[in-house]
Amino acid sequence: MTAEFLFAFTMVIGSGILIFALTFALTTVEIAQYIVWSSARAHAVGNKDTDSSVKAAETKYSNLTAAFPLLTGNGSDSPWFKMPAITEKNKFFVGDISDMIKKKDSAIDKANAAENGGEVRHPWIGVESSIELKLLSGLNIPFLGKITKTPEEFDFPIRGILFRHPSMQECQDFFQNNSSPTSNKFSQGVKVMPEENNSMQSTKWKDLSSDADGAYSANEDNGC
Amino acid sequence: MNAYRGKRKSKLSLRNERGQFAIEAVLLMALLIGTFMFVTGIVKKQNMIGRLFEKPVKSIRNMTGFGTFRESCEGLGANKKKQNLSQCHPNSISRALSSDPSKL
Repeated sequence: MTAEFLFAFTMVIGSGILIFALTFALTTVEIAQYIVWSSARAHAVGNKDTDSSVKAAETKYSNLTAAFPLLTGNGSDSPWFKMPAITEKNKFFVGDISDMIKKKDSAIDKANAAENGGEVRHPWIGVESSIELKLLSGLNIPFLGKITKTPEEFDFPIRGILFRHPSMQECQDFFQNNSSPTSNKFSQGVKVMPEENNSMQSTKWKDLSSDADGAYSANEDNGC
Repeated sequence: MNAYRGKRKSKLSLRNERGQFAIEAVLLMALLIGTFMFVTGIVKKQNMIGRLFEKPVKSIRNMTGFGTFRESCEGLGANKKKQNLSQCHPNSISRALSSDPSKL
């Protein structure tokens, strides 16, 4: 009776540990995803300039990882889980993460165009971090040994991809130029309208922009 | 007299059931340990514990890194061929069309 009880007790406790480790690890991944996504969100909103956006993402990431030291290790050694610090640039990066994706999957198409030579899309902007599930990869079950022979598979990237809004600096550069207030706008962004090149014709906005009061300024919705 | 005593003693020793439990306990223990070793052997050989953990972690890894639970997917339209992980990402041009989500 005692032996049966001990056997059953050991089995229940052992199974409980296994299930706990698995569910807790998967839950932690959710939290890690939130941290990375939140950082990507901080990076995405318009800021003073590009560096300020990157800095905002790094600050958000540091603050959130510090709030969950058991789950993230907070840049130090945690026995259960580990997320990299912002200084570990081979694991944490803010901006165009396509090169980091390429390390894991060489098939990535950076241009992401619909057809060869087509419009280049930029979907790989965001934040990349990683999480190491040390709780699982280091788990050793009596009589059955370690649960994995490839612990490196329990260290994987987490990506939050969110396109960044243009910064104030980029908007100013886009609209302002020493020679002409709209030269960058036409050369870099908006296609030159046919009327623009024909001195005999004038578009409505051009008429308006030459009004004496100067209240109208040419603009369009490009995120600025 | 001595012969009689000897006869009686041998009859008593045959009826002695002390030690029965110990023998059965040893037999049961041997059976249980044997079964345990057999089961753990199968579990180890078929990597059942590894599969229990590696499969869900692999799915989660693909989702957090590439936005898909799958190892590969099939593109649509001009990209109608087997796609790799990054091409299965919802941000990828290969998945820009979603007219048939079952193939994504």
